[in-house]
Parts: sequence; C-alpha cells; structure tokens
Amino acid sequence: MTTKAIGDWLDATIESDLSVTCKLGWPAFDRPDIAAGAYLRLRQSDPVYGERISASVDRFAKAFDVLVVTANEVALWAMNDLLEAMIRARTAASIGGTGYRFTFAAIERAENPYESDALRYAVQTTVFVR
Amino acid sequence: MTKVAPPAFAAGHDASQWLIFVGATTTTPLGQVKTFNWVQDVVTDEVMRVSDSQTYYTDKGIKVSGSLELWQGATSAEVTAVGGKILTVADTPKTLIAVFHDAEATSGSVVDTYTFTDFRITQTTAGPREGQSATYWAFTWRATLLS
Repeated sequence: MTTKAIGDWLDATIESDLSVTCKLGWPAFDRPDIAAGAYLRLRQSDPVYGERISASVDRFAKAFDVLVVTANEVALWAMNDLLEAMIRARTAASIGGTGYRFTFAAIERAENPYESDALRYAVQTTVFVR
Repeated sequence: MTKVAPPAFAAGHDASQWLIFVGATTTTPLGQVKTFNWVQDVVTDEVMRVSDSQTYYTDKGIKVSGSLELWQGATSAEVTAVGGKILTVADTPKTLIAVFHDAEATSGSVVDTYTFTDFRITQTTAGPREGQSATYWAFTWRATLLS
C-alpha cells in the first residue's frame, strides 16, 4: 500500500527529526486531552495525467497535513527551527524502491477553531509528495 | 441538393494509445517519452521554361525528421537507448517503431505501425534547465525511411 508506506516514512521522519511522538490521524479538537506531539493526516491524492505518451495516469501527487503541538511559545519557536531543518534535509527519499520528492507549504500557526487550550501553541504545514 | 451528414466523430483518442520501441522488436516500449512527432517532406525538383507558364515537378525522394523528448529516468537508460546521450559521428543508427493502438489498455490492439529506419539523433538539448523543473532531454532526429 503506497499511501501507507509514504505515511509511515513521514511518521518515522517526523518522530526522528522533531523528537516527538507522531500519531497517524488528526487530534479530536473538542477533546481536552490533546498531547504535545505531531499529528499526520492525508490531505489529498491528485492524479497526474498526460505526463508522457503510452499511458494516461502516470502517478499521484499526494499531500499530507502535519500538525505539531507544543507546550509553550518558546517550545513552539524551537519546534519551528526543527521543522525548518527537516524541510531542508528531507527533499527526496526512496520509498518501496520508488523515488519521491518532498516539498512543504508554509509553516503556519495551527487553526484552533474551538479555542482549545491544548492547541494554543501549535503549528501546521503541508508536505507534498511527488 | 441537401447536405449529407458526416459520419460519427471518433473522439477519445490520445497519446496514451501510442507505444514507442527502439530496436527491431516490439517487446519493451520506452516509458519516459514526453513528446514524439515526425515530419515527412517530399523533396522535389522544379523546372520552368520560357514560353510556358506551367511548372514541372519531379519528386526525388522523401525526407523524414522529427523531435523526441524524454523525461530523465533513474538511470539514463532510455536516453542512451535512442542514441542521444553523447553524439558522435560514428553513432550507429537505430530502428524506431511507433505503434498506434485502438485503446490505452493492454487489451487494445494495433491499428498502425510506423517503422523508422536508420533513426539517428541529430541534435540534443539537455541539462538541468531551470531550478525545480523536471529534467528532460529534447532531441531532433532524422531517418532514412518511414514505412
């Protein structure tokens, strides 16, 4: 399962680069028990058509959302540095024998729609896999 | 006189129905082809004479040339296979076969086969191009015969 393989790779990479526990899936925003750490979820899989002759759909460009929750503002800034280092370091990988490239969207303050205390110090980004 | 209706339009055919092979066999197609097209030119002598407003044409032969673009692969295997990696005057021409099928799927069957004899890359445009872009090789080529 390609998507799971890529997700597992991202999960392991985030845990290693950010020194946090990464969970597959998003935290439930209405629950108070959001722990510090990272969360990874699939955003989209975009079929890429017409890249070459001889076939129509040649690959799928995937995107995963990453949410990183920290305990305070200074920890958040430290986490931002780690995320920047990860973006610099993780531009390509071979997963299951296929080469992938990774590009990241901006690191943004995470949405906190329910004004949850646990999500006061959180950032999110999106990683594009192609 | 009333207008005759045209036949039904056969839509839905595209480049996914083509396979390109290097060599005389059609077993392993190229997988990195971005574009492929060809041009056939009739080479003609023209003769005119005084006192005659007609031009006399004599067809001498057919020239075949075209362009081919390949995406960079994990190795440069396909670029090498078509003879485009490094050009030398001693390059041995290849045979290139382009096959059009009636469907994209492997259940499709052959409609037309175009065989290019003495396929030879005559110009290569290559390099990393601009930052972030996918690398591809652009070739112009000629062949002595299209059959």
